[in-house]
Amino acid sequence: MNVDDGIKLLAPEMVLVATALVVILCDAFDGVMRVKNKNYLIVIALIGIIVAVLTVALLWNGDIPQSGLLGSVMLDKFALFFKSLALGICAITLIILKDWVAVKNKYHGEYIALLLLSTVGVMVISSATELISIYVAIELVTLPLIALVALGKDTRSAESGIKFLILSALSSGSLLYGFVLLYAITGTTYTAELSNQIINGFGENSLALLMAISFIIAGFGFKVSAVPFQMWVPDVYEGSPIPVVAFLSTASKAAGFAIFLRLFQTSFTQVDVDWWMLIAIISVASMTIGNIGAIAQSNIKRLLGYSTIAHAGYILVGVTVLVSPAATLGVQSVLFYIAGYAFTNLTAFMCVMTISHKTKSENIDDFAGISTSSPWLAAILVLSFVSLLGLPPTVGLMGKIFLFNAAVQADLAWLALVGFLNSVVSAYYYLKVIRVVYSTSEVAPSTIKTSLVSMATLCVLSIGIILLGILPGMLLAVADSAAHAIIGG
Amino acid sequence: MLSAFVFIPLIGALVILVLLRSSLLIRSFALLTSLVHLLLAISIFVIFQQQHSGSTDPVMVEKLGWIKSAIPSFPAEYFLGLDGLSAPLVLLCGLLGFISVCASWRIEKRVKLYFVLILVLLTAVSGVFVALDLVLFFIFWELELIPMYLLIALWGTGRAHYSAMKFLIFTAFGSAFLFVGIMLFFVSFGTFSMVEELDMSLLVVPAQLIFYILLVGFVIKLPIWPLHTWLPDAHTDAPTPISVLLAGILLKMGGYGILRINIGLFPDAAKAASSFFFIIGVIGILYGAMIVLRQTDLKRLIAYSSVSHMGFVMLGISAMGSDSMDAALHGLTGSAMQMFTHGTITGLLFFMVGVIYDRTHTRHIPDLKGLSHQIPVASVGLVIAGLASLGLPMTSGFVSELLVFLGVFNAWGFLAVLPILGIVITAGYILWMIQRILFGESLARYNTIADTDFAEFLPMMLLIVAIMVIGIYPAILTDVFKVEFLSLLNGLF
Repeated sequence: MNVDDGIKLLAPEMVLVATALVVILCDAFDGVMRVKNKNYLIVIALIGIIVAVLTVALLWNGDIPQSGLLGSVMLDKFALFFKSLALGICAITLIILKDWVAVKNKYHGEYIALLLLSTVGVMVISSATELISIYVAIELVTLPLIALVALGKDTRSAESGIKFLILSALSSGSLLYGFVLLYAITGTTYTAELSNQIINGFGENSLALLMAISFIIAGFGFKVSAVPFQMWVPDVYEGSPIPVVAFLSTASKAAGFAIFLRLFQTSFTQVDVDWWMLIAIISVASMTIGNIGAIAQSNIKRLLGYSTIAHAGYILVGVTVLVSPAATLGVQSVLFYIAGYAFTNLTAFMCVMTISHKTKSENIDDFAGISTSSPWLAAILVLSFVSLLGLPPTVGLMGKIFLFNAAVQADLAWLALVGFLNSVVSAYYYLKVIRVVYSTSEVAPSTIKTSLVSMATLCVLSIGIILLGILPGMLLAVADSAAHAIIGG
Repeated sequence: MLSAFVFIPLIGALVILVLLRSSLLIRSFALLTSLVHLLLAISIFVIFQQQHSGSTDPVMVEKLGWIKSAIPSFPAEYFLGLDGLSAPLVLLCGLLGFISVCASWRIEKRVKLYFVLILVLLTAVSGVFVALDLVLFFIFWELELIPMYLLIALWGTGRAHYSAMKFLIFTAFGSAFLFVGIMLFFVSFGTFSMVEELDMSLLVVPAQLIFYILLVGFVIKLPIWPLHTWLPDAHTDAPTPISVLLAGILLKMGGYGILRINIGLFPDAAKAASSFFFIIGVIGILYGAMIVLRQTDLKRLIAYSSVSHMGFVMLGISAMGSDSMDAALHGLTGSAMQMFTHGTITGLLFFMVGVIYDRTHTRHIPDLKGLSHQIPVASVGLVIAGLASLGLPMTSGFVSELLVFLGVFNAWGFLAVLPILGIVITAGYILWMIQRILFGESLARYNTIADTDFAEFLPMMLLIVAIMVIGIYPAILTDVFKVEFLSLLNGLF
């Protein structure tokens, strides 16, 4: 096994780390050059992302699947799918960030560099196949995010930061404990060998294995904000800067699901433990509690926080089917859903930020009358909410169709029904926002100015939402080949 | 041609959204779009009658790979087609679409958004009636929700927000079951096509179960007691043109779904469920009719009468329990006819109520009196609609109810007396309503109101003509429906 090859496999990550370093150095020393406008840092970061995307594209067409770094990373289409997704999310978050720092006017360099590092974490996770690498990668996602959450430096931001830190530490502890138990049972940290070791008599049906899997589920449950590990979500979302929330609710979640799918698929599908039942319960609980919790919210960020819990529940439906013959379908639909959800959510957050900067409020009722003064922005916001709700013609509906189709194929029709009924509940609060946006208000807000870049991004995103809602085949085919990469066949 | 029919309203909506600014232009363009939509519907119906020649294969088929071409394991196709069941409903859709846009002429508030939404709504319902792929059907079915929600919530009166939300939650609740039903269908047969031969032994769940799961989605839409409660609220608070669309087309989506999917795909289960249809139908008819008697709001009154009339759709289906194939055929044809006729009649009723409300600004029956002296033409329209609604011979209402009872008497014998009671009550409340608001001494405060203008007279006449033509020569539609049901029942008896 050649270390050089291994390094090649991590080329996109390397590019991004280098970009992050360049950004920090430039930020530190550009005082010498008397640079006032820090937007060039975002340009540097975007260039880094483009280079990384190009390397991902090269790898996609190159010699894969390929394992490297002593078997601790695996480069396959599944990993590359998540890498491109993470890069896409990062790019859009940077554009959101550009508007945010334009208003707040501080900490450009730190934000960008930390975001890039967290993205690197997401990318590493997607190809990690060894328990310690997985753990390190997860920390790499989370630690920059903790700093980002707290970087607002006001009381609420600090409170969110502390909350996030403590609960992250707790979940990492749980995860690590699960890993340790697994290692104690099997004597290996390589995911590919875990399954065989367990089956060959090292503790199948044992209490320790059950505990290990439960602790791992708890640890991942925190990352994907599933019930009962969701308590931090609304508070942290409310207190954090919107770009960070946008990243947290998409990239961090995608990372959680990437490792969820890969670890459980490679290590536990053959094992005789009914962990899928546990995930099914978590899934139902997440949808239900997320949706019911969202109903009473008046702050748009808290509302989206609860909605993200509910969406974690929907996506977990796809994880549940891993043990069934419909596993490929499950993985494929999870990938499709995550991608669709990520871009929908980013669109929603981008609109919300633009509007709330103008109205100086994150209260839903203050969004009244937006449609009269800024009809296009309102339309895009509504589109993203329709997609979150899962109605045509958006990618959200298609995602739900594929996801619940997988559940029905796996003889879990009841889960699909619960999921769909839950989206009926969610209709209540999503539509409330849509109605407020389209209602008229006495104090008509003046037209909201959006920068050309963000308007262009919003347009591209909303066209994507509609296009994938009408012709989902393109993305689904990619998700399909990624799913086959970890399931085979 | 079918694609054009489905998407022309959407294209119109996009043009309005992007290009047009002045309200007059928007109104005219929307009217033009819906007129083209109507003309397309008529020509589709005419072409259908020439082409289909007794066979039940769908004609004017349009098929594209859609998702199937990207992922063969998910064989959803863009599959449109027309058969005897959908052709009349396409016609109805074109007709009522045009009329509701006409009736919207006086909308002043946020004209652009209003017409965009109403045209999107037309695309959705048109799609429902011609889609032959279950996934496509489901997408069109869901597409209608948001426009309808906003139309009721933003342009409605009274508790509009509440009613709109209630409408949406009820319908979406049904969609959940519909979706699971569709997916169970797919798991069993590996196809989403509604027109393939199915091998019932492949079903992964009992046929009865999937039948009832699908049924839940449709009966909510129809709506059927006890899931009807959203309808009176939605009707009462919706603006009049939207009530016309709601009663005229949206409810028909439910009935169409039952006839096309439940009965078309699972005829055996439907036959076995005939007593369920009978009981639910009779309760709906009697309950709806009795509730109508004590309504004082004109729109609420018509809304409950819709609940009652939709009971006849269920009743007609229950004739499948008969031993005679003719009776079952009559019953099913009657059901389908009832949908079409109820669409035109109730459309007209709502339209006339809208005309009256425009002038008097009230729908409260005790506040209205003797209007026939002040607005004679509108009164004639309302009387014709009312008489058709109670099933007077020569109107379309008579034909459909007659057919339903022909079937039901054969199947259920003396029990058929129960729904007959419903007809008696219907006659009672319609005549009483007409007597209270149109006749008697007229009120001085309405002396200045004007009768219908041309923009109202034209849609009114269109609907009256439709009602009368079908009432006098029902074979235009019954022949079309019959062919479809005949082949279905042939396999059953």
